[in-house]
Amino acid sequence: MIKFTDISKKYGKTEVLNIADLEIAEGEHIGLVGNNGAGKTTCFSLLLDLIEPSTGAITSDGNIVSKTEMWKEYTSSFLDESYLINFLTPDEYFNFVGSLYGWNEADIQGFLAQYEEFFNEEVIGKKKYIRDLSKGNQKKVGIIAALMGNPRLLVLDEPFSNLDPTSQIRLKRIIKQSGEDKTVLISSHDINHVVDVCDRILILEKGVLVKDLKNTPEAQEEISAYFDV
Amino acid sequence: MVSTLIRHKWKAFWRSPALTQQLATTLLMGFFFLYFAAIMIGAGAGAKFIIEKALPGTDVISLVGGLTLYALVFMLLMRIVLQKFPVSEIKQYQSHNIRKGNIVRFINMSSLMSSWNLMLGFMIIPFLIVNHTELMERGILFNFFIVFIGWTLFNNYLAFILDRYFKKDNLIPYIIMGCLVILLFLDFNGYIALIPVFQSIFAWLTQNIVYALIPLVAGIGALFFNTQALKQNFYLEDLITDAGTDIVGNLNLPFLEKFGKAGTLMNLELKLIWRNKRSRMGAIMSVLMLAYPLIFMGSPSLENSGFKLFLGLFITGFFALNYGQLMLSWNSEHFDLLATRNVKIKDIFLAKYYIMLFSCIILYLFSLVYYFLDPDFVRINTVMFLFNIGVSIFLYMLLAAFNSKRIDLSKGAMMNYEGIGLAHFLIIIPLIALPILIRLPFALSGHPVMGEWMIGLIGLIGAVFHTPIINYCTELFQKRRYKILAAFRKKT
Repeated sequence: MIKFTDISKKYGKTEVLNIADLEIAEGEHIGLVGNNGAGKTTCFSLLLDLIEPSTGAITSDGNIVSKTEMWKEYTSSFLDESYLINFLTPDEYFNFVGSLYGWNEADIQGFLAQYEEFFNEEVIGKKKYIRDLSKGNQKKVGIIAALMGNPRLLVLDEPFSNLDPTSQIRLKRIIKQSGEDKTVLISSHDINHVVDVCDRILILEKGVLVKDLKNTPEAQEEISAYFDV
Repeated sequence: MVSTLIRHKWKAFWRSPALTQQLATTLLMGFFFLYFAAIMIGAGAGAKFIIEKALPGTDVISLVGGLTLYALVFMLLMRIVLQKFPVSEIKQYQSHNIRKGNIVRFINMSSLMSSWNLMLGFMIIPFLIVNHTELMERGILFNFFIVFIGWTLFNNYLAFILDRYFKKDNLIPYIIMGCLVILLFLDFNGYIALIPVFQSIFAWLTQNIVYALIPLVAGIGALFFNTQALKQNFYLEDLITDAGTDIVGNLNLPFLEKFGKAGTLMNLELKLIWRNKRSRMGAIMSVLMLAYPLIFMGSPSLENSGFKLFLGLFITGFFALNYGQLMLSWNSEHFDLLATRNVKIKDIFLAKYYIMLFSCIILYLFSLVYYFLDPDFVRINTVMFLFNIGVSIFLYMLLAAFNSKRIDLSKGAMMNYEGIGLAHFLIIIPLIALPILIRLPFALSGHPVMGEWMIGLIGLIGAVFHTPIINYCTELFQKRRYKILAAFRKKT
């Protein structure tokens, strides 16, 4: 479904990402793991055409992402707070995102009802603007909005950070359930979260892919050993 | 301790990216500041001559005194709606070892450092200087000064207190403002007589120093009350906006959905415009600007048709100018969402286009009222309306493809030039020069009216071809999108 070819990203003379060849098949759940500055967010930003690759190209369904806008119809993502509209209430925000996919009010209500537990009665129906929500609740709004429109490709950057332990467990359940028919890309510092939800794990270090493993118990040991320095 | 906090604020101002990053922006800000300061000084110093010329035989000082009450109530409402009070600055100091009282004192002091108060000073001091002999003859120079200081103080803190209750999305201040304008109109035309009442109140206040201190005492009272209120509501949760009371902001216009995704985006834009101080100020100003030509009624400058064209351009296109210049920057805080979800960049441009188009139509319809004052204005406003929807709007859209500055929507409206660059300033030149140049050959050959219709015709042609023009702007944006996106993400 997705193919990185000779991708590199340089800022000035420093190269922050270099992926010569990477293919992701439809339906795979990919976990991207790495320390700070390993290039995880850069990798996602390139895939979502938010930044320009220095060399190479990324194709999604055979189309180069920087040349067409077609991928936007089936891709959704949540990278950071620049995906949130601060002056809207969460309900207005969901209505806005939903209506981009032609959903009506009933569709949106039905969709949100599935996540009542995740929101823990702190988000829906509250007369509060998103800018006044806690960091954790903002994150929840962003992630659930990314599930709207039934995307075939879902990209989440550090979805587990800023969430409390219960919400982290619930989020894993959500990703597993709604990810069944999707290709999912998740990045995290935390190997344990990724191991729980992904079937293929990529390790980035200083912009280079150093490991590409199927999620097996042996692989998990290999990963732990890799980071234990 | 308070002085340390004040020093922080001073540093924050001088180190703000708008002042340090770009020379052009800094110069521009300086220019705007001087320009407004000059207007205020001019108004203060010139008040005497303007009134004496317009209403010969009036007692200038007494009339100014009578008008100040109107001005102060209006100013109070404007402050509630537009001034940004520094409560959020509590946050950065809350968790440190600083006493509550010091933080509150700092907030109270820094609210005085607002450009509203500065501008008021620019107006009052020249007035006092120009009129000092008369004021001295009556022995009220010092009292006059004290009354103004007191009123400014009272106004500042009362607005600070009321700001909490009116929660910015309340319609009441606008309704009162509207009523004030009507009252002032009735007053000036002799239907009611409030000004004489105010004049005698003002005369009473200034007659001796004890009475003159009343506004100052009221100001100190408001300061004291505000201190108490701030101490009690010290925790920021208490200051969070309740989104439920926003009547206009909660408006959703279902008929806009007929425009498809552009319609969805238009509903978002309307919320953006209404819920953020700076964009809302643009909307309010564009309504107030409708009255702009009234200032020149009966003055010889209106015999100059070029000047009339300029007025027509401004009153029908002021909203589009204000909103269009920052076009995509308004959305800079959430642009990554728009860039990656199921929206085409063209839909975003289309939504902006329709918003500007509708604003011009609405302002144009209002501007037709000038028929009763001068029938010429119907023709002028019509051609300039066409020019706005067929030329000006597209100039702003072209500019948007090159403008790449983030703006922080949570900031106040006064003296806020974030996102404004030299290009925004230069674009005014073709806006004003083009109509005059189009009309020139016709005017020289003795057919100025035909020249004016020519301006309208060119506008109409632009409006008819809006689809290819918007497509072109979209492509231009697409070519430069990485630069713009990167700049939008860069926090200041």
